[in-house]
Parts: sequence; structure tokens; C-alpha cells
Amino acid sequence: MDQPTDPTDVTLLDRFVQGDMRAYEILLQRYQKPVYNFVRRLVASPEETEDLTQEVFIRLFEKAAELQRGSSFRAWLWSIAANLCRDHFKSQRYRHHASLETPGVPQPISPPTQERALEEAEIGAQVEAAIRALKEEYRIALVLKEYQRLSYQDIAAAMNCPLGTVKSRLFAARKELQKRLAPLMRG
Amino acid sequence: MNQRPTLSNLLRLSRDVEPPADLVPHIMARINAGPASYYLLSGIDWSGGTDLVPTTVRRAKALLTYAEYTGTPFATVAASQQPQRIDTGLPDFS
Repeated sequence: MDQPTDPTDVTLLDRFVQGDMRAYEILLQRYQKPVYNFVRRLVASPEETEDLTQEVFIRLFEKAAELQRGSSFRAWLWSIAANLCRDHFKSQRYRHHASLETPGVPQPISPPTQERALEEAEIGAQVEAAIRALKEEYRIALVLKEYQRLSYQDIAAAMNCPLGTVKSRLFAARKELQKRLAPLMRG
Repeated sequence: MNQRPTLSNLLRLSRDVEPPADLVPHIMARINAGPASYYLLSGIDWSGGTDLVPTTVRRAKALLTYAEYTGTPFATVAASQQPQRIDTGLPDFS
């Protein structure tokens, strides 16, 4: 007997637009973790991360009917998330928020003396700080590519820019990260 | 040992975390409270626009807590809140 397959995002969105709230809830459950982690990698404060994640899903609720047939749901969802984060950065910029400041140069990691998991978590935190210190557009492109696994095409749609711009932003983001994380890469 | 980690190796050390357990219930509560409530709370009718979102969402959470604590329907609590005038620096013609 065939296993029932999960409905696609677009099917759920169509059902939701027809008034099926259960379909919206499934989308919410499906994407809450990816959206939360996307925002978390861009914004340092847990409280702001939660607020912005809520707003992404409220926008999804409000604008579901606006997605063009044949468009990528994921690209559209990430464009909502990226735009909300951009608005947030704009409102924070003049305050020169500590979370957006360039972090100090990461300290070289000594050979493992404690639990490996703890060491990796520390390095992970330094990597996240380095990502948050990237220029806004580099940061968004990098997180969409490396963590949300979007295609170049979908990133271009989500960021509303040409494909070539996505590639150059990713190249610049990786170059910048390599510079910032050099102490960790010396092994 | 001491193999040089690549950038990709390092990026993998930033792992996904679980969102707060009340994230979905809060979103659903805002939505179920009806358009009037969540428009009011999300600041859409406010002159500050999206700049106010984090603050207004926190306010929404406080109202939700209040509604739960008092057993008052959230829509009633939200409807009792008037949008506050934001000082935009523009003359008030009202």
C-alpha cells in the first residue's frame, strides 16, 4: 500500500487561501524552525529573533493570496523573512547595536582538553558572531545558501536581485568570513 | 591530528536550535484573536510601521498573558487597547 505523502507547500498554501486554517498550521509547524534559525543567525537577541519570527508568519497569513502561481513558495517565504530583517536592521542601525558590531578576533582554539561538544559549541558561537558581523546583504545571502540550502535562483528571487549579484555577494561573504575566522582555520 | 578546518566545516558548527515552545501558540493566538486585534497589536495602523514591531509584539505577549491570567478572551483585551499616538514630529491636525 502506498504511504500517504505530505502535501507540498504550494498545496497547503492553496488550501489555506481557500480557508483551511489547518493547512496554515501545518505550514507554520513545517517552517517555524527554519525561519527561527534563519532570523537567529542574522539577529543576535533571542527576544528580537522570536518577535521577527512571529512577524514572518503573520505576514504569511496576511499575504498568502499574493503568491503568484508557479512561483517558489520557499523563495517567497525567505523574501518575507529577509525583508523583515532588513527593516529591523534599518531601525537598529543608528543605535549601533552591540550585536551588529564587529566581534573581536576569535582566539585560536587549543587542542581539545574538554568535551568536544562544548568546544564545538564555542566555535559555533564564534562562527555565528562572525556571520552577524558581515554586511547585511552578504549575511542574508550566506545564511540562505549555507543553512537554508536555497538555490542561487531562489536566493535571487528572495533577495530581489540578479543571479550574478547573489554569486558576488556569496563570494564576498565567504572571503570575509575566511578572514575573520582565520585563527580558527589554522588548525 | 590538527587537520585544518575548512570554512564549510566551521559553518557546520553553527547548529540549528529549537524555537521556543510557545512560538506557535503565540502566533495562533494572535491570528485567532481576529484581524482587528492583530492589526492593532502588530502596529500596522501605527505611524511607526515596522520599526515598532518588536515592541508591539512584546506588548501583544503581555496582553496574551493578561488575558490568560484573567480568563478574558484575548480579542476583548486587545480591543480595549487603543493605538497610542507616536510622536512623528509632524503637526497634529486631529
